Parts: sequence; structure tokens; C-alpha cells
Amino acid sequence: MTAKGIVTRVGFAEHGENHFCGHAVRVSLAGKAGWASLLSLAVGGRVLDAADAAVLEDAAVCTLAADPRIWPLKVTRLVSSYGGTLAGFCAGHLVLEGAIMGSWPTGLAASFLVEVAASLGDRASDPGTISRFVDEQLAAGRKLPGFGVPFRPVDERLIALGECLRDRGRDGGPYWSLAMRLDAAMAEKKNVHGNQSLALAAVFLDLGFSPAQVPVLTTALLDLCFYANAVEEAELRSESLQHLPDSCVRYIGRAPRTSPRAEAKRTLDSQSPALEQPAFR
Amino acid sequence: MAQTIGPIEDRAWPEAVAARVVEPGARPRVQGYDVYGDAAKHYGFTTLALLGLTGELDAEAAEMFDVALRFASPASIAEAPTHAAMLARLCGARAAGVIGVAATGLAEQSRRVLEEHEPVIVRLATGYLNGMAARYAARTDEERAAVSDLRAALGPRCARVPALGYDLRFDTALLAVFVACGLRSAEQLELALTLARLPLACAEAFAGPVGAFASYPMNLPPFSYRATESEDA
Repeated sequence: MTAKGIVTRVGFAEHGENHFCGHAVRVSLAGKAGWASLLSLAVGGRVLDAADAAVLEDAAVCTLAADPRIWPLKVTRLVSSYGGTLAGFCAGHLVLEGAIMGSWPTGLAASFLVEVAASLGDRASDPGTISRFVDEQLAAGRKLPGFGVPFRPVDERLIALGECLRDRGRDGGPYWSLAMRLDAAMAEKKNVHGNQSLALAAVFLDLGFSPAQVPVLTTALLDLCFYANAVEEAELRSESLQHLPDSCVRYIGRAPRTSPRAEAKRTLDSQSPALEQPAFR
Repeated sequence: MAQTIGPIEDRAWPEAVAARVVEPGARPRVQGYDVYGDAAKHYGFTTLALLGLTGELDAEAAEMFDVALRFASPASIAEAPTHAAMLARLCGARAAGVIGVAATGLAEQSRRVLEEHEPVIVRLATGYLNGMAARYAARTDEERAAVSDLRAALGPRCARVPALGYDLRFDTALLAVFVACGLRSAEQLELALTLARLPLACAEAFAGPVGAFASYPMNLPPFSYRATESEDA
């Protein structure tokens, strides 16, 4: 029995040329395509024009929240503290898939925006309709994806991305506009603002990506934060990350206890003191 | 730039990280038991692992756990985690890289198994597969024979695994034993499968050569590249 073949659209190594997602690298891409456009090609299957690629680059810049204390980045620091750069990088990324923070919630936010747009149609451009929609969702007890900014009133990454889009005249996209209307409604009703997930979801949807592609793109943008931390920590090899001092750990588990076998041995030893002698152990 | 104040500094945080299973220090304790003076002297590794997961010392459950781990352990080169680990070795990865690849692959493989079994886990505990028995029935006579061997290895302890009365798939039977050992959550069960398979997956990888690229069937399984119309556009 032979192994079933696999059809791939990703790549092929030819004599004198490599092919990447439908493009001959040397002939079609080299010297012409930039990194952001190739990211789009890898994830979404299409090359971006310069204007769209610039928006993706802006998104990459605005996501640069690389504080090593941020949880997934701390994972990278902990694992890289033994000197392995890529081990830490990979460990940090293992955190992300399916997680409640980081890149994965952007997919939920994207699905939510698509759902709202489909549900409201042309009425999605009306702030009053959005306001009523938000009321209904909140009354139903729904937690809206893409909202909530921990430890600060607004998400500076969303603000920065909004400024970039405005500077480029790209803040009129349907999903970005919808996201901003939802943000205004949530701020008014719950004093809760949209976060980076909402912003990136809107930008990527406006660039033509699907909700399933959004978290992967976001992860790629976050790579820079992980690389920077992995590289630095692999050099530092911080002892305080490799092993916390005992005073920095608070044990809250089960109280000390003795196992049945240890108890039985103790009882046996107490009944036959000679068995306590090393020669009998 | 000098350190400034940010949202993390604005907030009061705990000063210590919480430990819930292993009490650290020169005399570590697991779930309250002194490891060096008690648990490690009187119990085996699988008992300690099960203790960590369930919080209880149950010698009979640990014996069942050990049997199921042994039956789950053969992770052959035909399976993606071992295949990937062997390739890491072939590429000259550090041992840590090979182990990391194997562990990641096995954890993913285990996640897939648990996803398939999500609807039936609770029923494996009760031993009543009402309406689900056909979905998780043995698919081949070889699989049926393997489950029969598992029952034989468990011996009288089979009585603690009522689901083994059904004609089960091999992976379902293993999960039934793990569940009977007190493991209930997906994370516990995924760990059990990963723990069982990691040593032999790594052993297979470590037994392979480094750098002998010509000895590896590079086009297995065969990949075929289908360029889109954008090729060379």
C-alpha cells in the first residue's frame, strides 16, 4: 500500500528556481515583493499592492507591545533563559493557538464583525442601529469579542493603528468603520473600549482576509515581540528566571501528610525495633 | 530611555507565584507527601505522576495506570510525532530540540484523540455508552486483539473499568482505563497519552542518524505542487 499523495500550493524546489504560492521566486518575486506582501501571499494566497502592504506594515508596527512581563512573552523569556533562542520563541507561540489572549481572539473578533455586518446589512452604518444591536447583545448576556482593555482605559495599539489609517486615508473601510461604531456604543453603554483584537480584525477584514486567516496574520505580526525577547533572554540567561528564590513561591496546596506505606512501615518498625537497624533495611 | 511608569506599575500584584501541587525546597512535597522521605521511597514513578494529577495515592489505580501507559507507549516512526522527531535528529537538532518536537507532536496527537472522544469521556466513567458504542467500536480484528491483551494485562482490575465490557477501539479502551484511574479532564488525559509515548518516540528518533539525508525517503508521502494561475504573472 502506498502513502496517499498531498497536493500543496505552498512551494516547489525546481532546478534553478523556487516556487512560492504560485510565484517563481527569482523571476516574479525577488526585488519586487516586500515582506508584508509575502506574508499576505503565505497566509491569504495573494500579493498585496503597495498601499495595502503599507497598511499591513502599519499593523505590524502598532502591535509592538514587547514588555517581557506580558504573559506569552514571559513564557518565551522563561524558556529562553537556558540559552535557546528558538525554543523560547516556539514556546511563546505554543501559548497562542486557542488562547484567550494574544493573537487568537482576533479571529473571534473578526467573526463577530462579519456576523454583525451580515446581520445588519446596510443598517450597520447607522449609529442608532448599532446602539440598539449592542443593547440587545448585552441584554442577552453576551460578551462581545474584541472588547475590554486590561489594566488601562484604552488600548494604545488600537489608537496608534487608527492614527496610521487616518494618515493614509484608509480609515473608511467598512469593517474599520463598523468597529469604531461598535466601540463608541460600548464606550457609551459600558465604558468599555475595543482592544487590539478588534482593530486588527477590522483592518485585516478590510484588506480582504477571512476570519480564519486573521489570527495567523496577527501571530506573524507579533513575531517581532517574541524574537526580541527570545534573542535578549538567550544572551542573558537570567538566573532569576531559571529558578525563582524559594521566597518568591507561595505553596497553597495540600498540607503535609504521610502515605499509607510509610505509615505501615513506621508501625512495623515501632513493633520490631531491630528492623530499624540499617542491616535490615 | 529611563524606566517610566506603565499600566503594570500602576497596579498592585502578588509578590509570589502560587504552587499548588509541588511544594518546592530542599525537601519537595507532592500533594503533601514528602517525595524523598516517603513517596519516592514507597511508590513508583507512575504512582507519583497519578498522585500529582488526581491528588490521591491509589496503588491499584496506579497499577492500572501503569498498564495503560505501557500499552499506549509504542509511538512508531509511522506516526507524525516520531517521524517529526526523527527528522529533527536527521537535521542535527539538539536533543532538547528533538524532545521538544516529539513532545509537541505527541501533545497535538493526543489533543486530536481527546477531541474525537469528547462526547464519550463522561460515559466511559460510568461504563454506559448509551447509543455511542458503535461510534467507538473496534475497527479491525487486530485492534480487537489489542484491547483483549489490555484486558488480560489488567486482570481482575478490569472490574474497575466497566466500559471495557464493550467492543472498543484501542484508543477508546486506553482512555477508559485512564478515566478509571481518576483522570477526567481533557488536559489530564492528553498528558497521560503524551507521557506514555514520549520515551519511545524520542528513543526512535535518537536511534536515527544525523545528517544522512540521502537515506531518508524525501518524497514520502508524495507531494505535488499545483501552481495557481498567478504563477509567473
